[in-house]
Amino acid sequence: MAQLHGVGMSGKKPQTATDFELLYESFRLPVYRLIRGMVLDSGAAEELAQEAFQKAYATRHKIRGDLSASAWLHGIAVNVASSHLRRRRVARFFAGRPRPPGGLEAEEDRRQGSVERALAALSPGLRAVVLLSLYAHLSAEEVALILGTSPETVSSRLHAATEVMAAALARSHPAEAG
Amino acid sequence: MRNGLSSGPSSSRHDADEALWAEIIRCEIDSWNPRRLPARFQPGTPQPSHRFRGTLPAAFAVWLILLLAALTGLSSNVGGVLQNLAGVRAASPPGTAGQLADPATGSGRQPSRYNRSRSSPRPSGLATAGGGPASAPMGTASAPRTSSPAPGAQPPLPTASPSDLTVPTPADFRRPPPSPLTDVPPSSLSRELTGAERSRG
Repeated sequence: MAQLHGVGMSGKKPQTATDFELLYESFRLPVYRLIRGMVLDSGAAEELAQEAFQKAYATRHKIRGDLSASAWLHGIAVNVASSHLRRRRVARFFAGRPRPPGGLEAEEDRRQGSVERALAALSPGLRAVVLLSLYAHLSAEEVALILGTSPETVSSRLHAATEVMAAALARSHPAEAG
Repeated sequence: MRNGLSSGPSSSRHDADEALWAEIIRCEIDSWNPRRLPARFQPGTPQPSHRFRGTLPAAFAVWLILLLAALTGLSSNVGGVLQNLAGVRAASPPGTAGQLADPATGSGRQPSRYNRSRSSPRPSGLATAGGGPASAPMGTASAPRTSSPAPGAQPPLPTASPSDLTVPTPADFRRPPPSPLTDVPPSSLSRELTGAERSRG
């Protein structure tokens, strides 16, 4: 994750369109992967990544002073992904089916790797903490600012999330866990 | 994690666990590559439409219609019950629950043939609103629905037992009143009279 720390646009506020293009080039893949880790759906993640960058471009003049460009952009990505998950949950509730028995998502479930299965065992909130902390390598203070909570809460949630993920991996690979 | 909030041996173990998880997650997630995400940013392009945006309003509209239908049915039922209760309260003066007075004669009445013939399984301890066909024509239930008796009205005399009285339904009020003998058209009466005079003559 060298692109997020000290290299490229991670610390500079993208005030101009050229700045934003550089930011996009630097964060295109990390934002897409973070969103995919949140929604666990590759097709939706591409659309949501574009939506996140469009929102970031529209609000590029409103970056908070206490957030780096990296944390700001990842915060937008987490918000977009969380909104998508909420819409999906509501749509499934109204549709009356928790999850389609066959189709794209079931196919993706079969192709899921270990980390994807471990992330799927987490709630969206814990998933955001894990991805922001362990993948985007943001500090607890930055994660707390993004999620609107305290750094202590972020730390305890991260600890709980790693335990849940370890249990999920142990269930999916019982021989390796034993 | 670089927070520096915890200390001690357990926190060092947690830090090691988190570092291990960070490595595992990075290895797998870095292999995820988009297929259609453009390499260059194009500002102002319309945001992609999500698959749920089309279905959500429709599903919400269906739910709203079902909810309104359920509420309408419920309110009509409640309205019917309240209507019946109002009729019962108007028909039974204070202190004489379940007894019925004839507003025309001031005396109580026996259960009418109409009410006796209705052997439906409904509660028999309720009074009939409107006084029945003996005192008022069917469909004129508005007069006895006052909550208090008229100033000049005589006090009712209880004669009918509550078990013989039934509650009228809206269908009862829609029934046509029983045709009395005076319903014979005048033309036919005149024909009969002239025929009788001829036979007498």
